[in-house]
Amino acid sequence: MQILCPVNSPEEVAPLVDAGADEFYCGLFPTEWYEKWGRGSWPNRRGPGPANISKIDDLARLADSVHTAGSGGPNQRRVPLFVALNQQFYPDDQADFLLGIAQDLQSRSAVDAFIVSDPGFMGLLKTEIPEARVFSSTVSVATNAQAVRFLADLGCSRVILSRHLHLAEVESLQQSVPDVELEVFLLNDNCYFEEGFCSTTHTMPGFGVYCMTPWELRVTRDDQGGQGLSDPEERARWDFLIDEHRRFLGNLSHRGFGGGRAAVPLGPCGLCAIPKLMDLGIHSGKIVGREASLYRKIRSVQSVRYVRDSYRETGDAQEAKKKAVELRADPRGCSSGMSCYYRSARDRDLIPLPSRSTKKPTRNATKP
Amino acid sequence: MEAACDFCNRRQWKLTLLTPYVTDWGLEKIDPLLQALDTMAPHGTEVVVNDWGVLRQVANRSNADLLVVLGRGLNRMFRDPRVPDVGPEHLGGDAPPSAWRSASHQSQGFRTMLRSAGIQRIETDMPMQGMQDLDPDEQDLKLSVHLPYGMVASGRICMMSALGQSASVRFPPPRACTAPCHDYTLELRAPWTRRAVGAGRLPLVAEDSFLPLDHVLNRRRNAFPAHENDDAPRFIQKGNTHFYCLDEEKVDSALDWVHRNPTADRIVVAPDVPM
Repeated sequence: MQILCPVNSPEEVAPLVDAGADEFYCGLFPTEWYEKWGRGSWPNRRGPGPANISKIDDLARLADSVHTAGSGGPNQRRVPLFVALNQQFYPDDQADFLLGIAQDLQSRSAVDAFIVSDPGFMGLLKTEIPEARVFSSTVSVATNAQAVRFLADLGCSRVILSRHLHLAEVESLQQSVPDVELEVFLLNDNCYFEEGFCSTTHTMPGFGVYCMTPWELRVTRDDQGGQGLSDPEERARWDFLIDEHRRFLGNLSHRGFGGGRAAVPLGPCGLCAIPKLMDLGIHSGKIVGREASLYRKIRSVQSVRYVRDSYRETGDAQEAKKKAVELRADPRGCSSGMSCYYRSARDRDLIPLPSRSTKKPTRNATKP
Repeated sequence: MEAACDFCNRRQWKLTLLTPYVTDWGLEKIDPLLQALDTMAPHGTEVVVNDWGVLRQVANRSNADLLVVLGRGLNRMFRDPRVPDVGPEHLGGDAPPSAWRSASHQSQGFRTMLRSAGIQRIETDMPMQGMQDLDPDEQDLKLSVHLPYGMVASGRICMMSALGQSASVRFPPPRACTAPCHDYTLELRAPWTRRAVGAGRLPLVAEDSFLPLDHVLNRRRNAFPAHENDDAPRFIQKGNTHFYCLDEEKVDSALDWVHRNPTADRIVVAPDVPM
């Protein structure tokens, strides 16, 4: 399984390749786009800022660094770079603008694939630049084999699966479409909603991310004409659920680094699933966070590589999972499962939770 | 499905089968429904698809009489309910982009793809900020407009389905569901004021706003202020989906849009939250 890593600048490339990155992806928010459509409309799922590169020439320089990064090692190889043009849809003027950029990048051999979610734009790319490789973004929403096949029919050579699939569902997909490269999420950020079915602007200045909105909630019973809850027990059940749900929301994105020597990024994680995903033949595992610091990117790549290589070398899935849990150094987080992309891969017997029931005996307790 | 076909055939009614987005397991569940339609579907039966896989599955069937409709889930647009309350101060002085009033169905490339996939009709929501007029030269793909509810966001993670469930199955995509959404609805009260109320300043939680800063958010309330005294927008959660509901003024505006755009020849009215 290839480790797919976000990248923003040529300076990041060498340390990330050293850490174990096999493939890179980046985002592009051209200055000309900003001048035409302002900051409220984006060419991909991130706004202007550190998650995106603003100049085509800078992207071309990044591509040079990426493509030559693997030439010095023992395994001479061209490291690929993919660029995300994965907004949910593009009006005609935006699609034409991006097509021009894609043609420019293709003519410079700067990009190895375009990550796209708008099927109309996929068709446009394949018509106008037949040699271009196109990947289907997770925003396209592929949750079944027929959807993968549909996207492959549109010319996508890789399909990035939904974040919200169980491992058994990924297995079913892989077995049904073995000829299509599949990519899955492995680390750092989750979405509350299915990204392709979330019609909100991703981050609106002054408002933040829609799914993190701190709503006030009123629960009503449909069979009581929209009246609020009156039964104290029923209210308590909902209060508990809402509290737990708030805790879950807090686990959907990066929440700092683990303790001790590990110091790896916490938050959504699929490390325990790596052995199974490798057995299935999943082509790539994605690390999220184009906007992240280089340190976070390096620690993310090292984390995935540590578990992947452990399984690759020993073939022992339990040992690899154990290493994943130790690496995270977050037993309570791992135990809750709230950060798992693939909760069924979690093995609670491997999680060293301190026992809650063990109390130090007091002097009085030792007396007969 | 057979009973529904029989019911419609006896009355010479047309039938529309609405399908969700699904996993492979879901595809298996849809297949017998399509088989029933193969033999019993009333003339002009429609299948609304919200999943590229379901579209492929329907398109590969031999029943040429089925009309395939693109559902509003796959017709992407900005249905962010905050958009009406966004001002230039949020956008660095820029005007709201025209893309906020556009949609997949208005782009040439998307329409070309739909035609080749055998789609004959498209469903759309009317976003709260309105939608630009259609190209009068594009007549071949008819539009159905949903009123008054619009779908903000949806997904497999579902707070409601976790009601009463143990921690081990709480919040990942549920494998089975007892459907508490059949009994409960959530009202979501926003932590910002409507722009019309907060004009001239950021519509955010602030010292002089309707919510004090020490207010604990993301909590259940037994009651909300009366609508007429409340500046906070409200939305609805049913199951795993957030909806907005257009008010009377916006419904009137949507009807005006339909009158101006004859390609939109159908209105789909949901008298209650569409679940």
